[in-house]
Amino acid sequence: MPLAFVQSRSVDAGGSSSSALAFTSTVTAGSLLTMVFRIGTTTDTITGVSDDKGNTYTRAFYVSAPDPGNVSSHSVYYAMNAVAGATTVTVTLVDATASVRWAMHEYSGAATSAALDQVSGRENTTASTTVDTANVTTTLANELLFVSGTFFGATPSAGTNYTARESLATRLFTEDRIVSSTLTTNGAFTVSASITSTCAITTFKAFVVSGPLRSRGPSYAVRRAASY
Amino acid sequence: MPTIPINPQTLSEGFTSLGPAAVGQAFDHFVLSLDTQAHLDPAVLATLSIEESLDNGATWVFLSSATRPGGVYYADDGSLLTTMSLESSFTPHAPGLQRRTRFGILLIGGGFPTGGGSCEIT
Repeated sequence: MPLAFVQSRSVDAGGSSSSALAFTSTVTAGSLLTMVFRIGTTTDTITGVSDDKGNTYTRAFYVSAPDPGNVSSHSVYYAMNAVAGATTVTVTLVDATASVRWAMHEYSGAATSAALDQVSGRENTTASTTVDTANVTTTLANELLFVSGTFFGATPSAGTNYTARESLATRLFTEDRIVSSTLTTNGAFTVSASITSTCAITTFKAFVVSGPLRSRGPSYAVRRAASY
Repeated sequence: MPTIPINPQTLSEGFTSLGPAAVGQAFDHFVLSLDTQAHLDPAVLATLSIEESLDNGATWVFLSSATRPGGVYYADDGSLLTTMSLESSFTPHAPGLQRRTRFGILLIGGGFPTGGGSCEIT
């Protein structure tokens, strides 16, 4: 199964000590699940990400953004080799006074272990209409490039070669790109106003079938030639 | 843009179910909001939740929820928040299905008076 986007969804839960969100469709066994959180405070308030299928979520990225134009924190979590079935994800927070906005995504065809390859992210403290990260270099040919950003008060548009997935309340944006050759690139998208922001790129490896290669035997041409 | 109102009332501890209401295929987004100016006791936990049905109410699936204790809350711009809200999307569906939605307010630890609220569907 090749790497592919399956579904996504997002929610603005306001100030909450926990928020739950269900995937639109049943999650397929083995999928990669990615979660992006924008919390309206510079404090790392997330105490847990879990779901009702028992998948394990790992944080791939976190940055605190104290800039007055975008006071927030930005986290990316992921779960590999998802259990099949209807899935509701819950985030819990130690502080309910900060607003919680988050997005969930499902991808098929990702590695079911050690899927995370590259991570890069930063707070962009100089106002700009470009939201971006530093470059990363993928190590495998087939990878998912997953980009997320937080900002305040602008409308985002996907970067070149990327596909927009979730755009929430002019504050959170996600996009992705699936590549078939190694490359050095950054995560980037544009916004409608010059603003400060955060941006992260996380890359995930495709599932690779391991094990000994089967011998195919002589080629058809060789077999045909030998028959004469 | 259908709007399902939540009347001013004193909410008691426990679950209050609102709806269901029909949601046409043209609509895919909701904003559920509730006046929480009197929800100040941190021992009182409030949860807003929303469900949808694609078979006219025969079966229901959970969509999303938000939970918080009582207290004073501020928006990102520093203004006082007078409501608790939940904003997300419905499931895209094919024509012909009879989609409905219902939402709930779960209070644990006590109740509080509310000026009401609404579920706006766009």
